[in-house]
Amino acid sequence: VSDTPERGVIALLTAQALAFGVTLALVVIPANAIFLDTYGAKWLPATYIAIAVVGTAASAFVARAARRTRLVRVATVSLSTIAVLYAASWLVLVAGGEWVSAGLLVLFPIALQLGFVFIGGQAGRLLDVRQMKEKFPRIVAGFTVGFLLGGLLAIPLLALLGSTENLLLGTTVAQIAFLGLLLETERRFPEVHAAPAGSSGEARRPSARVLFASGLVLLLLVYQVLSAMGSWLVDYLLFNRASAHYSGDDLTAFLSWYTAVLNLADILFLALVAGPLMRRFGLRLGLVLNPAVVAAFLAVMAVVVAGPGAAAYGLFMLAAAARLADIVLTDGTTRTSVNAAFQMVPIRDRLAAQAVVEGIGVPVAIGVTGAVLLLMNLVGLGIGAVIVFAAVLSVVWTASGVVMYRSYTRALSDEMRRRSLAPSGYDLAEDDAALETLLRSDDARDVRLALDLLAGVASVASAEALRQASEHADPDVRLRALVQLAAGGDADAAAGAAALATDLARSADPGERRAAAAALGPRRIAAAGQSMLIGLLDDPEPTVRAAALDAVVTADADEQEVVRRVVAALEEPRTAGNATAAVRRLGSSAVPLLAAALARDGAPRRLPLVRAAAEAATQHGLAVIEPALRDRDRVVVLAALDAVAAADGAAVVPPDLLDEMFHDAAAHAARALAAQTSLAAPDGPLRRALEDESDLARRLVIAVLALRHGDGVRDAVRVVDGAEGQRRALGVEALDVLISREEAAVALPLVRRDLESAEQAAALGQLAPSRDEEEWIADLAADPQDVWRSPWLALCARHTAGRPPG
Amino acid sequence: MSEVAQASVGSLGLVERVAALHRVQLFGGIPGRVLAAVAEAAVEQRMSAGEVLMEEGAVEAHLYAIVEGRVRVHRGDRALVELGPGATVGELAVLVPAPRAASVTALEPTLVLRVDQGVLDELLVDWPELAHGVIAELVARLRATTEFADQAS
Repeated sequence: VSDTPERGVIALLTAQALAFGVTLALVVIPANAIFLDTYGAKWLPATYIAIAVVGTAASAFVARAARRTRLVRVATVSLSTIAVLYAASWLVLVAGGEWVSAGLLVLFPIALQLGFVFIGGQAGRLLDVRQMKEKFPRIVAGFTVGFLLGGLLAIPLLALLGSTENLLLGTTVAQIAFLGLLLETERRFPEVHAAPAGSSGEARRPSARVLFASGLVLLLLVYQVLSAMGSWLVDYLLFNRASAHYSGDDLTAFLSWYTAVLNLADILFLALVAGPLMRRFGLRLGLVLNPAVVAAFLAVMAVVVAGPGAAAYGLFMLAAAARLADIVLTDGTTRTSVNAAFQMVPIRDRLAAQAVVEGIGVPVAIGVTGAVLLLMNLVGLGIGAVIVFAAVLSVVWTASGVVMYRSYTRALSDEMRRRSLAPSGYDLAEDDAALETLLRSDDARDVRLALDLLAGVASVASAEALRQASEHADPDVRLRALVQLAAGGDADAAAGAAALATDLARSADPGERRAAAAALGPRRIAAAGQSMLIGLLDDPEPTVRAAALDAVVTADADEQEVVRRVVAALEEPRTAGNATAAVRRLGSSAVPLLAAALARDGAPRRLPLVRAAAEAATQHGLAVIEPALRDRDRVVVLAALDAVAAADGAAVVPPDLLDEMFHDAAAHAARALAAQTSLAAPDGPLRRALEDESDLARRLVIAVLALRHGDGVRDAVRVVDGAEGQRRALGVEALDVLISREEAAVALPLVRRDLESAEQAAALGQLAPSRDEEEWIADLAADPQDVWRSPWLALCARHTAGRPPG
Repeated sequence: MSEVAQASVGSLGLVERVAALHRVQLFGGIPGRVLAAVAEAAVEQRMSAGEVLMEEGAVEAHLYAIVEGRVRVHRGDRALVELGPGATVGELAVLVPAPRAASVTALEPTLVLRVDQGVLDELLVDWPELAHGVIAELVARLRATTEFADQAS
């Protein structure tokens, strides 16, 4: 995950946004002036309805085009068409057709939405999700600066060009500049071409069902609709109150002053606050801050209306502040969060989804807002009703932000999840014919396969085929077939199996003894099955012991001789895995021996013992695994944590113990990294040992977080370790949303392997003392505070210092 | 691991032994603190040029990590491959005990560390990543042998 996008990307995207801002400022000023001068404000709601209709159609067209061709081509055609419309509007206005100003008012919000779809779409292809969160506010700041510049340019341009309608010439030029910058971006960064997968030829059209299948796109639509409605209602409240307090030139002066303050605040917020805010709090804040702040302002406004009344100057000031907060937060946090959330939509559907959400959802929201306001005016409801309606809507909008954040984290987790190879249940009923063929085969491997498949499964495979197998030349096959027949109630087969197993258990051939052990299995075939099992558990050949361990069943829990041998087998590498499974089957009877073995000095180094203890702890409590979890050796602690996680025993470890482990691992990582960074030699055993220690601390941190927050943490870390570019950034983002801020401050620098150790050390610097190389080496060698707890580190430190090991 | 601090077997110190094992591809990913136990259990063997390290057909259960020098893997007079520092020989016998498939003779003064089957078994249980290293090593050896056979034919 690089914090720095490719050189020039941000500059070009910001330049596009700037040209875009200038264009829109030079549309909205002449369009409003001409429309209000000609028709008055009473017809404005009609333009809202037109925005909904035309905006929906335009967005549907863009979404359709996006599925068939590349983003840049769609943008080029759209922006060219809009430039032609600006130029044509100028011609119509010059010819006296003021009616076209209504069209420009309708075009304004549509162009605004489409422009951000195109800029956001390019950013989505050129930036990863982490870069997007940090850098997109700067790009949006370009738009705000452009809008401010356009407003300031309007005055000298008006003087230069002579009439309001001539400002549209400037609009057309700015639009062409926007288009030129987009084409330059395409030329310099061809990856922006990342077209919808399968777009060439296949032209897959995602249905609404497919598009909304994940739920995230639907939530994005709901969120954006509520966001647009909230913003337009706050907008309306401001202009309603402004027109109640000012008129004529005073109103114009107020609007000019207010627009300047608003844009300045927006620029300052985007430049100074938005990036760090998003980096620190991410989408969890970015999606709810805007609606929550707006809701708070509206709640206070409702109180003012109920008290001093609608005419109060304070209400006007609150409306102005609410509008300012909404604009600033929309640009600084909402737009960035929504764009980041879109990264969870598969790239082939992303532009279509963005076009639907922003291009159709938003115009419809504006239309609905206009209709609601018209209706309220018609039935004579006052400004108080509008405030209450807007407040309720903002609360719903806030709730939708919370729900969307949860959906986003789920989508991220799903994206990280690894496909499981765990076998799903299978039914052999339809394969009886194939099984019978295998059983009758001359090849012993086929017969073994059939017998393996039949083990423990009810099948109607013919007894005749099994009997044929029970006379096979291979004694292993013979025995398995007899066991299978015995399982079906054949008494003769049971007697034959018992006799054959007894013979094979005494054989000099390890393979035959292994077959006898395997036959003991879940269905005890010999009367002396348990004594035979004990004998086979003592077999000198590890593979025979392993097979005997596999044959241990729950009923053996009463036999201490079996239990003792099973627990002892945990400490033998070649039988440890089979013994772990056997311990699981023995249940509580193995726990005392297991606990005693684990408490023995040095025994926790035997990882299979720790794993078995962790499994037992899920049923018998913390005490069984506690010696390992509290071991001085962090390797043992890690093994215990991993084992607890593997045994689904997260609930076994109390939160305060996890806290203790997390803080110890974080401090250990910080110390190891700081010491490593202080070393002058680029190589050597001490550096390698410290690298191993920081890796151990990293694993401990991940293990604790996985126990606290679930397997999603490990999935995300796996992606961070194994993926590149956008996907790796998604892994970091997934981790960021799964864990708390305090945990992320430690875990993210540790997990990111793309960071140099010096960068990691700097990020964790506050957790480690400041020392020079000599001091670190002395501390490692003597470990006076017993923090390193590693004889190997101490040995390496003494070796580096040139001192004899002592 | 108190015994680690006192260990110093043969002519190499424990730290040097671990450093040598770290240079062996097979053990490159294993932390030093784990390799310290392997290094302690490993037996250091110095050989002069022409001395035989392994005899074809011998039944043994250990592998050798070459620390210094070069060895020749051969069947009779037919050389199969030459190996130097960082390579291992005899992994097959450790994984599946069987007669040695080839002989190994030092080409120059050579230092090797002998690792027994039990040690590798424990490592494989605790560090499954090592299995990937073993597989990679075997595949590389298979490729080298195949290429050698192709060239010879």
